[in-house]
Amino acid sequence: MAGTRNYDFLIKLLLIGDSGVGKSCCLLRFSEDSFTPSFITTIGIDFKIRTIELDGKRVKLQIWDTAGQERFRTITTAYYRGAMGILLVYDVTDEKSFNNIRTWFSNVEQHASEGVNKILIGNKCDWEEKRAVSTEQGQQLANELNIPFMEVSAKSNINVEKAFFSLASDIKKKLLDTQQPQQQQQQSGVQVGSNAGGLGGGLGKNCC
Amino acid sequence: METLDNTEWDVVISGTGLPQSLLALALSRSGKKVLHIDHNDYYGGDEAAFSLTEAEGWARKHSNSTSEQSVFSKAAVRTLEVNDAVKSKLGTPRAYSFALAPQLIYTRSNLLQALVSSRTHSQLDFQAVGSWFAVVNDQNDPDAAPRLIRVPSGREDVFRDATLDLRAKRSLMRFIRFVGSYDEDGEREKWVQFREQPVHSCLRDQFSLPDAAIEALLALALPPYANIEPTMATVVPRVRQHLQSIGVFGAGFAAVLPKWGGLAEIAQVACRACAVGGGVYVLGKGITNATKSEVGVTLELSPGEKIKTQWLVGCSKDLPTSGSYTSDLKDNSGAIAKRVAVISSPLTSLFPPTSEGGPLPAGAVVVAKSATSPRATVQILAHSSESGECPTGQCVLYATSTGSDGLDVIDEAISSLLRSIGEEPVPDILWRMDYVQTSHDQSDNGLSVDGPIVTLPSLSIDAVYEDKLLNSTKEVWQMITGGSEGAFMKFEPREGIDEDEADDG
Repeated sequence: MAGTRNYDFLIKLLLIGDSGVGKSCCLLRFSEDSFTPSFITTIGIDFKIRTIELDGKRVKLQIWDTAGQERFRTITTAYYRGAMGILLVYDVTDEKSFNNIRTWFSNVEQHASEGVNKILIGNKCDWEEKRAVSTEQGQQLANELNIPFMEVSAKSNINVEKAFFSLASDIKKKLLDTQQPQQQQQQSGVQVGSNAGGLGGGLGKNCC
Repeated sequence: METLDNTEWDVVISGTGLPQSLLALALSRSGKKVLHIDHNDYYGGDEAAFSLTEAEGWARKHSNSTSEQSVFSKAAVRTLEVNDAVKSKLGTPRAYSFALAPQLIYTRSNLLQALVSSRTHSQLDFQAVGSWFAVVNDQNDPDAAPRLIRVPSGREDVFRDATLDLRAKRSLMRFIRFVGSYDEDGEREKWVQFREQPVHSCLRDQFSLPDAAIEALLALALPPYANIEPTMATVVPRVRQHLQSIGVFGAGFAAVLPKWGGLAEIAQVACRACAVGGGVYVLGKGITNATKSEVGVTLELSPGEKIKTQWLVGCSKDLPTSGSYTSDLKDNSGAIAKRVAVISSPLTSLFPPTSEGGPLPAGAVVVAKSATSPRATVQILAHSSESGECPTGQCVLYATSTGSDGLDVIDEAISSLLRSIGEEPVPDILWRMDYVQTSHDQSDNGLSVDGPIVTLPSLSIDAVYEDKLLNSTKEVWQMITGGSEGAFMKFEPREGIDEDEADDG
């Protein structure tokens, strides 16, 4: 019920992929332009917000992290609700993370809504001497899954911006094409966090 | 996959049902090292939600009535004898999300407050449960179609109701006033006198209410064991809860339901919140043995991992040490028959707008009495496709009844409901699942603490979410963290999330 919203589109994006591929690093690079090399599993990041401009429209990106639940493959189905775009991330220096992309892809197919936009991301592309997955292999998998592909480096700030913008732009186009006016809240939704709760219910309060 | 062998934890929570998941949420900012496991390979335990295929798998697993570790038995999916044209209406398996716990939540519930103050509500969608109905059979003409009557559910409704005469309205208003003040000084004496009395006789004799009004009040109260005549002590607080909940989050409705499969969704969002705080989640892993030591508990997990923890918390069936699982309650005393049915019509007449400009209800309550055995009552929670539990053009009915002939009575009630709607042709049941759920600790709903091992009470299995669940969560949270009561579930926004988003996401 935001009366004066400061954006034209709100887009929910998800990051998915094995532990340690740098999902949170990509997220922090994009949302805060920061990078911390750390081997500790992400703690404390629910989602991050960044509002970008696309063709004169303000697009608010709400980007969700896995909260470490990828580690034992226990991501909740609730995580996928309402997601409009998904970044499938692997580490170009870790072949296993690349091989697992198929599993993550099928998880997405199973739990996310149909027709959700996806993009394949190979992170750590700055680390050439350790590279285990070639750009061609990445591109080939992307072709097979029929999704766009990009190699990025959160550390060296290569292509991270471009990847998010490209995904957001595709989704925005789709939103315009399908002419779906973005509703703030579904018609049937109830705002349990609204202040109405503090005002006291009309009838019950009077009589009880 | 990584191993948990030789790891040490502050708290191990066993089971991802709502009681355990709310504790996980409460501990999500405590700095405690939490491991949260479930022997099932899905979230939600007894409060899970399933797609059509998952439900069929679940039913196969619970078809046997002798499982010690489960409160569910006699589960079966029935294929109905419908023609192919009807069958083809059934959507893809993933288009369904059936709730094992479709409980409605009253708007004044402390659960909603906790979800808001813990900033998890923005990850959930809530929808209004709008109208309450009764299906009434014609006493004089058994062949006549049953009638669907909207139950007046607040003062305004009572005034507008066309079926009650002036005298009945006046009596009803007098009773509603009493409901609002029964625990205050002026009425206490009366309350002491009334509270243990059976509802029907008390309301008839003391409040001069006509039978129709009594049935209406009973429909609003949704007493847990519908076949036993409830006392005033059961019904009056429930009617009060209903009346006080009207209008809290918008005009015309008293209760909400979480979208996408009932309480399962809340459990999952709570688990994610704990994971964001550093909690580790492993599914498909149960505890095979627990040994108490001086500093906590040593646990053996399937398959063969050993871990240590200061606290072990779970509901009784998730804990190996509590051999006191009350299998003696496996008789019919605490057993409730349940049916989930997918209907070939949206049954729009069950979901009328309850106020101008208010939210369109996605839930409704229907209470039906059996024509053949008048004591048997069936409570039906109807969810429209807006709940995300079925495709558009259909709706899902969750019916419950107590007693040994529960399923027969449910059969009759659903059939009466479908005929009472007045649609031609009468809507079909496209798919249905029956099961029996046993309330395994109905006698004592408190916590049990055995040194470092804490057994949480299970969720009550009636139609309304009961606030006492969160009280035991608070108790365990205080035990583990030493936190003050006022700080329970009160969290600041996570860093980097702007207020605006956290509040209205």
